[in-house]
Amino acid sequence: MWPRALLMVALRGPGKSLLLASAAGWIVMAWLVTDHRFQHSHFTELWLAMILAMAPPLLLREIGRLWRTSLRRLRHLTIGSFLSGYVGVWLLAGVVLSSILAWVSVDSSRIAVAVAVIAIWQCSPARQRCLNACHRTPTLRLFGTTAQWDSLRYGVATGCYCAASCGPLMFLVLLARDYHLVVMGLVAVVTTLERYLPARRPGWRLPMLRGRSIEWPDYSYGDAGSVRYAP
Amino acid sequence: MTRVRKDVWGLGPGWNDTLLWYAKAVRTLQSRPVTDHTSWRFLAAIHGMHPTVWRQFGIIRANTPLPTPALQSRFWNQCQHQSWYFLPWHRGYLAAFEEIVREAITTASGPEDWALPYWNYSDPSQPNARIIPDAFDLPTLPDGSDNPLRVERRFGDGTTPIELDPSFVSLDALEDDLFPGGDGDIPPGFGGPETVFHHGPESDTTNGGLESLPHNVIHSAIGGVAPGGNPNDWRDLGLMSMPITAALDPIFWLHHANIDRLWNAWLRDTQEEHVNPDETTWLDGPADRQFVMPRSGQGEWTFTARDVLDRIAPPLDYRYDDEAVPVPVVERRGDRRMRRLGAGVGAGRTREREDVVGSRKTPEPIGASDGPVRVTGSTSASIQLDTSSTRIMRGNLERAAAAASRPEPARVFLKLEGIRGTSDAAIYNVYIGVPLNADPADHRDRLAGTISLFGVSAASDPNGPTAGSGINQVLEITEIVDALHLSGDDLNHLDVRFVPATAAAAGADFSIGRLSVFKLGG
Repeated sequence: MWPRALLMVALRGPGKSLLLASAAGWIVMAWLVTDHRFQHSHFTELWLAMILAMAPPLLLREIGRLWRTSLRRLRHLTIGSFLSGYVGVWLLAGVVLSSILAWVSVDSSRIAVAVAVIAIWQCSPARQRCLNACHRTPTLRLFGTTAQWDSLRYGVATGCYCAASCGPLMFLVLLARDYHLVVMGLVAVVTTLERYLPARRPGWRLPMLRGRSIEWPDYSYGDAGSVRYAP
Repeated sequence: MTRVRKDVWGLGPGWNDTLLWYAKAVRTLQSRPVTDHTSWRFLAAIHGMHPTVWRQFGIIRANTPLPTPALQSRFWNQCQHQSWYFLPWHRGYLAAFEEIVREAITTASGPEDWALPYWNYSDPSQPNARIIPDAFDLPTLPDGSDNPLRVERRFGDGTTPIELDPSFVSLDALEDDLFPGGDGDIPPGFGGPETVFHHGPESDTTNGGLESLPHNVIHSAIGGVAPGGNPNDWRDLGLMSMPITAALDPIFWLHHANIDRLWNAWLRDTQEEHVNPDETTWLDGPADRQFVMPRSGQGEWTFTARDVLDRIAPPLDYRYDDEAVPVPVVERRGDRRMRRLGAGVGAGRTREREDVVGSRKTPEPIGASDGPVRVTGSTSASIQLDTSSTRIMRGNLERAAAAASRPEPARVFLKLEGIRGTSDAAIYNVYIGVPLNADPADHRDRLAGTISLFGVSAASDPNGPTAGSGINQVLEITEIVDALHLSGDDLNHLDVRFVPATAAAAGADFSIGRLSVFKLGG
């Protein structure tokens, strides 16, 4: 039920435009794959198409917030500032991943190690911290250059947390080669759903498991006083 | 058999049968181990529980056996706040509690038609309405045994008996047009903002109208802070001040019965055509879990909003002795506004209904503070308004005053975004446009609203369900902005004044990420 409920929320405001952009990205992606352009020599176009296809659904909340909280005449500029920061981070991530890909993909044992490292990262508390940070609402000023500066910083911060939490999975997509589109589709579904699950206390756990109510808030104080209840 | 929930003050002062049986049942439930689904502590933990806090408060010991993690996960910490599930979830919670209490009462040969009383603190015809019913303060029951309804961690404003300020029992929320919140939680809605999840990260965490006032404010006002205590330290807060301890106070249930009654009263305002949401996302939500309550036997009851809409039918099967609209509409909001602006009476009425029944409008920000605001004690802040937006708004106000047939000018809302802190018991009055050296108490017409920080600690936890984004509060300031306009103010900026509404709140220390002003429609 909840993917449908999320979709209803997603289609509001600028959500439709984002989903259209994503659809365009998938079409380009499909064309690149059918044209066998998933070789390392075509990394740049592949990477840009992946960002276009996968990022918009992840940004429904952020773009929606900027749309709602910016002055009407500055909305597009503010969103542009945000996207500059966000896409900038992902382009840098592409450069890094491209280099790693070139080193890893020559040897199946390196590939196995890379997959194992990604699996560990997916279950780590550090990754959960990055996912939690994606939920945090920043303070954005409304007027002038300060508004654009805040949006740019918001875009960079979101891009960094996003690259840290989803980048390793994107690397997995790049490794998939012949199954690129299928793996990319699976990763897109997982990262999008995961993005909209409530924040959770960082800890080692399998991803996507439902949050437990006994993940207590971060209080750390003393022990019991007198008791009037049965032990 | 439909049972009748009665006004607690209407039952008479001191011990009456209803409260006496309630007290005895509370004692029975408190004697049960926390692993028992029908124990006082298990039921309270369904609303909220934190082991460290419960140990500190003496609710459990370090070695107290707790239910299995699976059971805790299934039942505990379910409470719905800053969400449109707030009202239906609490209705189901109350019904489950009432059934378990009644079972304890009938087992002790008490009346089979016992029903939970409600505390109508807003009743203008009852002189004692705002005073906590005295049975909750008496040291003993008539038989001389300890009174389980009396709670030491119920600090209020430090005086006994606790008496609520008139502004804390305001029923302004009943004027809200729509149940769900609008786009960006403008307006916040009578029942709260639309959320997909149990705790909704996909939207802001904004209090709905009824949840904000009187619900939250009553929580903070009753719980309060220990005399001489630190309002920013949870160890000094009363049970009612925090969601993770609130349901341990027996007055909690009477308070929520009244909130539940007010939901029904709002729906009965047929003149205003108030209706519940009909979206399946509300009727069958939330998306990520089912609500589940224990029953008096070993069974459990899962429900959604759809299952608690008919109160007369089983399993709810109750009604209130007074279900009338508490504040009959003398003059509708739109009419009142247009009259004050100088337009013809009745003009705003038609327009307002069109706005409500028709498609929702999208709010637009027209001003904001220049960064976060730290509030501690009486605090002033300034909001810069966008001159081109306010020029259009002023023009619309002037034209609306001149010609009754024009659409209603934009409504204006103040949004306190990202309130973070640890002072759950803090209650503040928020004023707009009070002159710098003036006493806000002399300018009640500039009171935008009364806010409570109930739940702020959990919402400020960086690893909590909202990732530390804090809570939001939306206050309608249309009439204040209209008055400023009529007084010749150029609306280039708004002065906001936060004034502690209780002595304890004066020491509270919290921050607000941004003070924003939105216009809706117009």
